[in-house]
Amino acid sequence: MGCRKNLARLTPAERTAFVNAVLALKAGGKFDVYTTIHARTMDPGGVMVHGMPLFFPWHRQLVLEFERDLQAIDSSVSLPYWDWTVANLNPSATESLIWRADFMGSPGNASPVGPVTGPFAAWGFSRRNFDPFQYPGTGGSIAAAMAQTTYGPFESGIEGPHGAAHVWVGGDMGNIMTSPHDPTFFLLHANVDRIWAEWIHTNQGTPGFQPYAPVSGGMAGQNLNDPMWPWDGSARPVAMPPWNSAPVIVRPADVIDHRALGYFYDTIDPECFPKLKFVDDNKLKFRDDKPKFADDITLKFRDDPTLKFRDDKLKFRDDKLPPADPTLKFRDDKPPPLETVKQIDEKAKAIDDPKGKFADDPLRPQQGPAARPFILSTPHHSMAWAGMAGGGPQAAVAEHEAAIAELEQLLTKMTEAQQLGTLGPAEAAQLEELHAEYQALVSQYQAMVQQLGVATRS
Amino acid sequence: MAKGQPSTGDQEQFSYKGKRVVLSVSAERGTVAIDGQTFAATRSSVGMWSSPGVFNQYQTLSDLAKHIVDYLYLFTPNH
Repeated sequence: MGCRKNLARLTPAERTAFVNAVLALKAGGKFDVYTTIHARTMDPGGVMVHGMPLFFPWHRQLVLEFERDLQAIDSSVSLPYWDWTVANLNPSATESLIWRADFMGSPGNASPVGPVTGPFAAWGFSRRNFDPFQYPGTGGSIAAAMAQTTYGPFESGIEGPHGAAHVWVGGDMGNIMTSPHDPTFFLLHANVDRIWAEWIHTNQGTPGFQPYAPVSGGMAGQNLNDPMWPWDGSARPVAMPPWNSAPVIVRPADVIDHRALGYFYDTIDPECFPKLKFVDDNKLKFRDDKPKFADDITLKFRDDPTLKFRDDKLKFRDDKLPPADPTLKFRDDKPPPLETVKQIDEKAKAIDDPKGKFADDPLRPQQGPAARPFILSTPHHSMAWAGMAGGGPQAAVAEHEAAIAELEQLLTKMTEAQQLGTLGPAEAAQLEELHAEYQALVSQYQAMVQQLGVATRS
Repeated sequence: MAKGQPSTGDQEQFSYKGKRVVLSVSAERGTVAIDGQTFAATRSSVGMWSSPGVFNQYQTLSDLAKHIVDYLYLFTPNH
């Protein structure tokens, strides 16, 4: 079990552990077996693992065996991968994270190729004298291959840039017969393996998707369930130790699921994702705590039927107005109707009735000559009073008051017309006569009132 | 005659990514000329074509030629 990380994310300790394990494998003689196996595939009659479908599964098994050998030396080691489409520099871009003294060593120290310095300098392989701040690239070709949905075009689309990366490193890496001499080979092929894993990861939910082809009917040794040399122990073209003595049937079908093989990639597998302290810390009150928001049934917000907010019955603009109150005295209320003359007369009769509802009213006039008379403020009221009084001096006073009032109104109108200049000569003469008549009538009235001893009208 | 390669003694020409490609085959050897720059090619006993400086092996000479065009920068000095 282990996480294959991008080499750019290795810690210095992880780099050192990996290098030490590789050096130990070399010292034990096992490392060179991988070079031999890879070269033997080119033998006449050998298994074809380049330019053929077997490219991905065969190299997956080869790299996995290599990783297991390293883990037998140091169980903490996992194989890092080299994403050759980027520069892999430190954040300040002042040093390479792969071509360095504590990891994969230097480029070739001669042009066009030369030996290297670093942990593997003593191994004797060479590299091209490349610029360690440059890189093979070809990310566009890989992206185009990743967009393929069938295995054949995907495989050939990846094998091209893979070969270009081999040649870019150059020296032993640039030749099929010698490329595993340089341990960079395994980092490069871990990246090839990651690309296949990601392609499967991306497409595995698609109906009819085949992570490998041909299933059957293809060239011998290339089908999904054909055993792969050398793990089957067969002599095609030559038996390889230790698998000839302890053969294991490994078919392409057996290696399609990298997770089942016990390793993961930091790009697609959750096992490799950073273990944040936030998420799994029971003491925290954030995302893994019982939420207090949308799904919390204890909340009193939108789903609470007792709330008085948005879902409650509205009392405002959308609510129905209460029915009109007939007792209201506001703008829509009708003012009380004016009393008619008839009603006033009836009220006057009620006032005069000694047994009526106004019997105890101190202002109610008393019956008989000794009664203290009063004069109402309008001719009608005065006449009504005179009529109720039954004739005699009171009636005469009332008639005078009515006549005086009518005459005052007439005089007022004619005087206004005279002031406006609209009064004719005949009317002007009539005005003089009316004034005289008015003065005479008032004199008579005052004498009459004085004789009766009643209050005068104002 | 296998598809993607001329018969022995013949030449085949085509254009790929703006490059003029000329293939020629003589027995188990061949040449790939790309805009006048010639690359030697050999065919293995299992029929796979390869070329010095090319890591990959291809079933046809034309596929090998296309790979060389794709990664022509690898064949230039100090690439």
